[in-house]
Amino acid sequence: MDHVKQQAAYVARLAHLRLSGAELKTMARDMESILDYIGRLEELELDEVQPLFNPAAADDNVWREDETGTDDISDEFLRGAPDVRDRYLMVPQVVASDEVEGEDDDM
Amino acid sequence: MMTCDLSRLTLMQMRELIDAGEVSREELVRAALSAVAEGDEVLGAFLEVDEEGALAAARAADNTGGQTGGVLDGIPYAAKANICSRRMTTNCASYMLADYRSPFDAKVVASTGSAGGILLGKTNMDEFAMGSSTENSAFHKTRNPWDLDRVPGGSSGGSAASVAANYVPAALGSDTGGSIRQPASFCGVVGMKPTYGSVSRYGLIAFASSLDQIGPLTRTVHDCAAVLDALVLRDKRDSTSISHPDSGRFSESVAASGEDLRGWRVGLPREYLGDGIDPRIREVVRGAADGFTGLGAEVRECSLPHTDYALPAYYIIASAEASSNLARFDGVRYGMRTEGESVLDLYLNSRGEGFGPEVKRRVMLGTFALSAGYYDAYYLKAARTRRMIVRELEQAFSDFDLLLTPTTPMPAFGIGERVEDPLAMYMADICTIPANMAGIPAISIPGGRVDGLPVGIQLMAPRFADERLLRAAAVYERVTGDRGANPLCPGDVPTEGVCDR
Repeated sequence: MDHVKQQAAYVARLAHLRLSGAELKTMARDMESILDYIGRLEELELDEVQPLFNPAAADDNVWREDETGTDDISDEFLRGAPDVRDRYLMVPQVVASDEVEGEDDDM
Repeated sequence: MMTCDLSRLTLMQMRELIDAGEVSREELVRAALSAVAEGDEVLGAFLEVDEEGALAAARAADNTGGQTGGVLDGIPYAAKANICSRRMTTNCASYMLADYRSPFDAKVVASTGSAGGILLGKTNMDEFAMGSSTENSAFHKTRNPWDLDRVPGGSSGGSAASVAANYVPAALGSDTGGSIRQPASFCGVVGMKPTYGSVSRYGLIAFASSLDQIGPLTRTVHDCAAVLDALVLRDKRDSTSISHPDSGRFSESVAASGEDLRGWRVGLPREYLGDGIDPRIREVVRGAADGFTGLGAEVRECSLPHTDYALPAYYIIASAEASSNLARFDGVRYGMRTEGESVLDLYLNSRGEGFGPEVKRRVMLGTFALSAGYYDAYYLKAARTRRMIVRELEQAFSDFDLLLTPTTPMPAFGIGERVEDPLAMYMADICTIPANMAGIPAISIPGGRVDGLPVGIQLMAPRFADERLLRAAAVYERVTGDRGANPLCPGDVPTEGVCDR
């Protein structure tokens, strides 16, 4: 179980989910039983079968004409974002301030 | 003044009265609004109702004479809360999008609008469409109109309940593994998942893009066909959307479907009538098979041996696609944000607080199935299984025009009964998942009762044979169907003479 819990913590990190200790415990238990159920696919010998990712998948890609449109609703999209300044989406500082100094010329 | 409850009318009945000038669009919208005001505090089908917008749209249409030839002209309808609309929030029943307002209308909202439909409100659902009972809504539970202590099914539970309770004659839902058909079965209404690609997904907040499809919930098959006439269109904004051979002809075709099914070959796959299915539901399906035989169809048993593998394969594929689709909810571009010291903390906090338990479970499962070292064993294996399921169905359709199965393995279960056990909840979709895996059309229509609760029967047809499905369902419904009567609204659906004024 500890191993499963450790693995759940690792997957939560990959999935960008902050889980509490209690959540992690429940998650590990649920994942174990779901994976156990899903494991029945091992009964099938399918190595020769082509995987199918989409039921509408044609052999060709779907193309469209490269046309100019006029329906720019970017302002309205930005209105839905939690923190916007001057049309920029704001996030905590990504680069440490001492790294930024003097680098503007290189950009 | 009015001598009947207008909101109980079917879509086609409303259509006739509007066209004959006997009822105004505003009267219909007012009737729907008062039905909601009267019942929905208890039922909880809606997350939001746009009284002002719906009345304004109805009045405007009354003043101009409406949408000439619009199949939905003046018809109030509801849409699931994962379908984007400019008016009202589109919150997917999630804290993550609690206040989210879409800057555009989904294609289906635009096309029902062009056909004259009036959007009354947004309906409750399982968060991000993940669930089978609507109990995973972050906001409130929806009750089953037939028994208030039971779930309406899910994830389109609010849409199913809004139609079953006679608030609106039609609602839009989305179906990724049965989310239209399963609640339709639990609530005693008609629910259809059309062929994958026939209805644009533009503006449907994606759960699993290769499985998701929008479709109608209605009280009759004819009404379902009328809504499809508005929905089925090729849309350049959805690259999986297709030109459907029967686009715009569904309603007409149902009206001309006749009285019998002579010459039809109906397959009864025995894997859908096994131990996992409530014996009383097996009885209902066997009864329906007799009904089809009585209509002149040739009904024979058949076998689809990979059926049992559809559910495990589905949970890998749907979760994998969900983990990718829901990566966009990061606290930066949409919806909820919980601050953090670093960008990573911002992501972790926003997603940790914004998503509910089932969404987290699926994102975790999907992330795991796609992660290095497990991709081949899980995701690829599931995609190969999917191919086998499609092949097997294609094979069956060379022998049969339709397949008849239960829609759900059990009737509506009690609120709270399955929430603690995710696997028990997943089992509710065991009969509906194969159609999503294969992209084929499938419909649930009322098939009978178990302990006074409605249960549906499911019909499946090959890709693009939506029209065939509707015709057979319409004949079955007309001749043997059980519709309308439920404890909230006793009596059958009114047919004629009910609106003497």
